[in-house]
Amino acid sequence: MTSDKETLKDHLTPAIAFKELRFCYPNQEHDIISIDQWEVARGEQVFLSGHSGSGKSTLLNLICGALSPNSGEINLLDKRFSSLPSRERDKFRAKHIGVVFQQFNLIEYLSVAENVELAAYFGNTYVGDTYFGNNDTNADGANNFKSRLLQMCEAVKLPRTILNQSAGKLSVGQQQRVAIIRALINEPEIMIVDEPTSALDSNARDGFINLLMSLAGEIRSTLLFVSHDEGLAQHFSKHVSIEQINNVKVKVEPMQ
Amino acid sequence: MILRLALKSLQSRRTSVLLTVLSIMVSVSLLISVEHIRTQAKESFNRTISDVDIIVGARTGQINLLLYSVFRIGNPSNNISWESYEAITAANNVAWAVPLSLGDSHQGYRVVGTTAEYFTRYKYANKQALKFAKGEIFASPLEAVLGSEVAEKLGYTLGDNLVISHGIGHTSFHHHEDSPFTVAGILEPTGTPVDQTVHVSLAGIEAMHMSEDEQKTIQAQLQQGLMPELEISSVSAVLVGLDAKFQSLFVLRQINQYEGEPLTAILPGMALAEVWQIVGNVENILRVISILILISSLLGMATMLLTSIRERQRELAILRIVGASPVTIFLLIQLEALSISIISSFAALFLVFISLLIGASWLGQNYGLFIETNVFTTDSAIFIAIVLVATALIACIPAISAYKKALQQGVQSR
Repeated sequence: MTSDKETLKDHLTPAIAFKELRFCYPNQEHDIISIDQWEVARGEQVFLSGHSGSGKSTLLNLICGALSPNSGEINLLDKRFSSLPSRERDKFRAKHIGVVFQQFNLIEYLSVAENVELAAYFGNTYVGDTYFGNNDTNADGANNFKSRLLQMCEAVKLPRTILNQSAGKLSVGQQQRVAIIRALINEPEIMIVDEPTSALDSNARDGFINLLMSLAGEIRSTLLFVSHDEGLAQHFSKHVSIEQINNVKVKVEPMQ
Repeated sequence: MILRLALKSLQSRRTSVLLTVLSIMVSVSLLISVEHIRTQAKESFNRTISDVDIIVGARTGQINLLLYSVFRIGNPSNNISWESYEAITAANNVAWAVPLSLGDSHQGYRVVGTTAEYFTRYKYANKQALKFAKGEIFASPLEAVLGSEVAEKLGYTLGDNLVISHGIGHTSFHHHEDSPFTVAGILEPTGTPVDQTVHVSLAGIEAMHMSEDEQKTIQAQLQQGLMPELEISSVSAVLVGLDAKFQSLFVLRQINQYEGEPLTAILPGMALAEVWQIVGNVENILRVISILILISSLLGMATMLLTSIRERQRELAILRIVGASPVTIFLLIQLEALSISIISSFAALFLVFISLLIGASWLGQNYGLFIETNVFTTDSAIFIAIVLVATALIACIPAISAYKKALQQGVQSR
C-alpha cells in the first residue's frame, strides 16, 4: 500500500480530523453535531453507521464544506478546511473529495461522458473544453481525459458505448457505477459515500461495495462509507457508529 | 463549459424554453419595428419636400392640403381657378409658382398635371432636384414623365403607350385603347411619392378628359407639328418659392386673405410637424405598449426559470457535489436567461427584417412612407443591449433563488 512518493507528512496528518466540532442549524435550539475529537487516517476505509436523524447527513455536509461549523475545526488532509473561505472550500471539494450518493448522482440531460467531464472541469484536472474532439488547441488535455475515462469504464465494467448516452437513460446500477467514475476522475484523496447501495439489490450491492473499495484502494483514497445498514459493516475493517463519536444523543428529526 | 451546461439544460426543457423564446421574440420584434418604423417614417416624411416655401390650395385644412399635394393621399375637395394661380405668380416676393393638377390615376398610380418648371423646382431630401434616368420633360400634351417605381412595376420604357383613365383606382370605364399617352421620360428613384407618380402637362390633364374625337384631333395636330391650344381652367394646388424665406408669413397672410376666392396657404415645414405630432403620439403609445409587453415576457421567462429551479434541486445539488460554487450556479441561471434573450433577439431582428422586406413597398404605395429595410443598425444593437441588460436584471430573481437554494440545501440530493 505504501510507495516512495508518499511523504512522511502524508503518513502523519490524518485525512479527516475533527476537533471540538459543534454545529447547530440556524432555526434550531440544540446542537445536532458535537464531536470532541475524531480522526480518519489516510488510506483508511471506514464504515460509519447511524440511524436516520443521527446527524449523518449533517456531518457529510460539514465534511464537504456545504455547511460551516459553529465552532471547532475540520481538518482535511493538511488543510484547516473549516476556516477556508467558501469559494476555496468549493474548489477543495472539487479537487480532493469524491462523493457518491444514494441515488440521483448524475445530471440526467447530460451524457455520461459530460457528467464525468463536469467533475473534471471543476476539479481542474481536465484542461481542454474539448471533449467533442473538434478543437485542436487542447487536444492533449482532451485525449488524456478521454483515455482516463475509457480506462475507468473498463474498471467498473461499463461498455464504452454508454459514454455518449444521456445519463437519465441508464439503469440505477449503471448510474451508480458512473457515479463512481465521476467521484474518482480527479483521483481524490477522500471519498465520501452515502448510502450508495440502498437502491440496489443485494447481489449488486456486494459487487458495488467491492468495486468501490478496490478502486479507492488503488489510488489510496481514504474511504468514508456512510450507511444506516449495519449489515454492510462486514466488508470493512473499521466500523464506527456515529453515536460513538457524536455527543448529541437527543433524537432530532431529520431536516426536510 | 458552464455555457455548454446552460445550453444543454435549456435543450432538456425544450418546450417551455421554446415558448419563452417565442414570447420574447414577438415582444422584441414589436419594439424594434416600432422604433425602426418611427425613425424611418419620420425621415422619409421630412425628406419628401424641400425648398418649397408655401403650398397653396383651395380652402381646406392644412394637413389635408399637405397630404394631397405632397403625399398624394386623399383628393382635393376643390380646385383653384387659373386666375388665382396667375395672381399668385404675379404677387410680390414670389420667385416661382408651380401648379399641380390632381385627381387622376393610371393603374393605381396618381397622375399629376404640372408644368416643365416642376422638374427643376421640386426638391426633396437635402434640396436634391429630380433627375432623369431616361428621356426628358414632356413636350406635348400627350407625353408623360414616369416616376421610377411606376416605370419599373408596370414595365414601361421610353416611347411606350399608356392609357390614363379618369378617376382613381385600378379600374375605370374610360379605357381608350386608341388615345394613348407616350412615355417621354423616366425619373431616377427618390424615395418619395414622386416615384409613384405619372407626370403630364396641365394640357395633358385637359386632354385626358376630352372625348375620343377631340383627342384624335389633338393627335392629328401633333403629327402635323402643331401645338394644340388647350385652355386650362383650374389647378389643384400651387407650390410656391419666395425671393427670401423671411417673407413667408407675410405672403402666407396675403394669400389667405386673397379676395378672388377662398384659398389656403401653408408652410410645408409646419404642416409636416403638425402631421408628425399626430403620428408621433400614436408611435409613443405603441412604444410604451411594446416596452410593457417586453417586460411582461421577460417576467414570464423569470417565472419559467424560477419554476424550473424548484424541479432542478437535485441537479443543483449534483453541481454542488462536483464543486460548483453558489456563484457558479447564479451564473448558470443568468447564462440560461441570457441565451434565451440572445436567441430571441436575433430571431426578432430577422423577423422584422423579413416583414419589412415584404411590407416596405406596401407601406410606400399606400401611405407614402419609405422604409429602409436594413434593421441591422446601431440602433437595433443598442436595443438588443438594453433587452439583454433588462434580462440580466430580471433573471436575478431566479438566479438569486438558485444561489440561496445552493447555499441552504448543501450537497445532499434528496
